[in-house]
Amino acid sequence: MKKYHAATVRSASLAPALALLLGSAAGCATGDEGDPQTRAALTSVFVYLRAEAFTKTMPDGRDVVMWGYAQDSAFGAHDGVLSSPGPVIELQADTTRLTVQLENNLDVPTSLVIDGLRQSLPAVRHPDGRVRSFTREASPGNVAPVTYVYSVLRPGTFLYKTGTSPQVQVQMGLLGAVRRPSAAGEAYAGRAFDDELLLVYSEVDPELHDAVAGGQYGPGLAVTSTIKYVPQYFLVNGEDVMSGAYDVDPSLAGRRLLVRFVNGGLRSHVPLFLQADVLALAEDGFPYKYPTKRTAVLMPAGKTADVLFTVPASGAKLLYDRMF
Amino acid sequence: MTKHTTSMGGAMLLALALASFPAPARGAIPGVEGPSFSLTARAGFVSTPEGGSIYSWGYADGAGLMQYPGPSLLVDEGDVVTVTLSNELPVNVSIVFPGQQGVTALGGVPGALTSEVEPGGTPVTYQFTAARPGTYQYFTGTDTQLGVEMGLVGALIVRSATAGWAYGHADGAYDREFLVLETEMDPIIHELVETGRIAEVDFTAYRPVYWFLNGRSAPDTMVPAGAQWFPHQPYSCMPMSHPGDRLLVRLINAGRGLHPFHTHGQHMRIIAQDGRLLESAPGAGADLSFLRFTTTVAPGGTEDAIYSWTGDNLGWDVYGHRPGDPLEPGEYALDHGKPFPVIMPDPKDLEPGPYYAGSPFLGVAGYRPPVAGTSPNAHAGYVFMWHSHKEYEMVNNDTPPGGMMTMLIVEHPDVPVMEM
Ligand SMILES: [Cu+2]
Repeated sequence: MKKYHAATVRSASLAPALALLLGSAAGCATGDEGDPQTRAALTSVFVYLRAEAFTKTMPDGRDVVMWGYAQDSAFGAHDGVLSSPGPVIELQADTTRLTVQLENNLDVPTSLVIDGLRQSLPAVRHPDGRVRSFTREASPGNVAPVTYVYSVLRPGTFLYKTGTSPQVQVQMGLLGAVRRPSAAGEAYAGRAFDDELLLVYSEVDPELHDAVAGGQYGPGLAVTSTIKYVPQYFLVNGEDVMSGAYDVDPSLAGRRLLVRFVNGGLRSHVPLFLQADVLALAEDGFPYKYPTKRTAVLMPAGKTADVLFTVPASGAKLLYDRMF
Repeated sequence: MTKHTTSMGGAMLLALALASFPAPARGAIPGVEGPSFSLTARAGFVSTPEGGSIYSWGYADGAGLMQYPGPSLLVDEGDVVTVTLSNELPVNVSIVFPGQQGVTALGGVPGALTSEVEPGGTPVTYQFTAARPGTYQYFTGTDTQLGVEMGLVGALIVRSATAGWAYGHADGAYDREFLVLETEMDPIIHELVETGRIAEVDFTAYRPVYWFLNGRSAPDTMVPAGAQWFPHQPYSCMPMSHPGDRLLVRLINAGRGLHPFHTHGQHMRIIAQDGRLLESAPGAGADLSFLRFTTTVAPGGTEDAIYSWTGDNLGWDVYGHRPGDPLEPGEYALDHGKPFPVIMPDPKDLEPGPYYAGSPFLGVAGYRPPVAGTSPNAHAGYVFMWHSHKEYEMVNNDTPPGGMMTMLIVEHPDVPVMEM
């Protein structure tokens, strides 16, 4: 049980954090030259994702089984690092086609959807007719990749996640972010930025994770639903820092900072800016016709939002969650 | 609960009988005039309608009592605002001012979001220029999760350079202004803090059971501001109006939860969020404003709404006029002289609530069967509930009615409207 704890602040300056984000994204950003599809269309992005369980040690020392994604260099290569949220899927302004090939190293079927991007969704049903998955599944230990193709792309910030039993699998950690600029250094038409920050929110209920990982979840078992979801850990980019704040360093004064928010959790969160107000550009990857100013950004479950501001001379603080 | 203007309990009968406090010097929202403030963080007890008393923390005006919420800080656009904070609490405290830029902090010790005052430590002076008019909040930037729950929150109102305008445009013009500041409390946390067991506070088990408007739960929201028996809760939340008045409703979510706020009688037009006029371009006015039946302000955020009740489109004349009678101020002309479309029941068949004045017509008191106590609606106004649409927030520790709720009274144009 996580008790009350003092606020902590991630005081890293923005530059290393950005480098980290861009670094983790670089593998996704470039198409695989060796792949026939990529040779055919250089505006195509090809991503190999592997879904698998891993153990994360929380700040209080508790080990929690998470389900996450790794990005491999090829199907079966297993050279990527598992994380939740999974690796950022980076699309470029001229990317016209995204192909994700999924390997499933979980012991249950899983799948992949990107909220807000057009796709065909051949639902998979339970024997009684109920939908189990929004789209075709990769079965456990699949020997051939299951391929998801997105050919109707638009600029924006999106949430990708499992489409199979999402009420269980998303909270286990199967989520991540997709981003696509409208041009290099431009979030949406006419909205240029100098620096970029991507913040993915999620939560963890360790009891639920233990039940799922220990085979105690399901009909007739100890835990039969996720209705009593009681998260104990509140994550931003996979780290339990939601009680803290992001420090936008004064050295960035005058630069235009784009912040992309993705809520992959099941709770609402409200990032709050101090010393600055921000232009709310878009929601769910749809730009507002007339952006307006905000200091508090309401982020219900599944929401993405993009905001833009010029860093003031004082720098700024971003309280991760005023609802925390 | 969506149709209930006459069903409240007897405690509310106190509401209008007790208005003997001085009206604020400027504007309808009581508070402390700036631009220099001296606040002290200290403990006190918040009263709840069923007789509860909750240990809380809050900001006091100088040597005054702890207040919940803290003093509403009233300043003018362009003021250089200084807030000096002292601390009598057992933990560090501070103040952050979302929506303000260039806030400096002198003194104290460095903290996560801003400089903090240690228990009994040297004060911190925060300073900023209130560059833009609007509705803002302030709260502790130290252990915000606990501090906000304990009560370290308040309103900051930056008045426009143009009197009677909320913002620098006529779209923000108003006749009366009201504060609606939302908070909630989980008394278990307060009890743990009171008894020195802060380490046992577990926010993952957070379960508020009290909900407040301007620091009071209904029906206490309707007891006048400054009532002696609410020493720590000096503000009421009781909007009053004449037909056609433009009410500026300054909505602040100072709590941590989501409160879908609904105004009966008329929709709100949201003209600003987080202290910024909803405009497509500077000077365009509130051309991006929108109507809301229910509005949910983001925790930490604010909204400004214009609410104006005329009874439009009711289809009958609220004054019971004949067609040749003159119009009342603010009357919805298209319904002038239209007859009331209901045959009134025999009074013997009525069981009126305390607000029922005995007739359907505004300002017309008819025969009403006697009920206990003094009517809170002495002038036969129209009464409209404003409340959280999370119906479970309209209770006080599981006892309805109460919580995040109050009543707007629309009075006949001839009846003076009290400043609450
Ligand atoms: Cu209602």
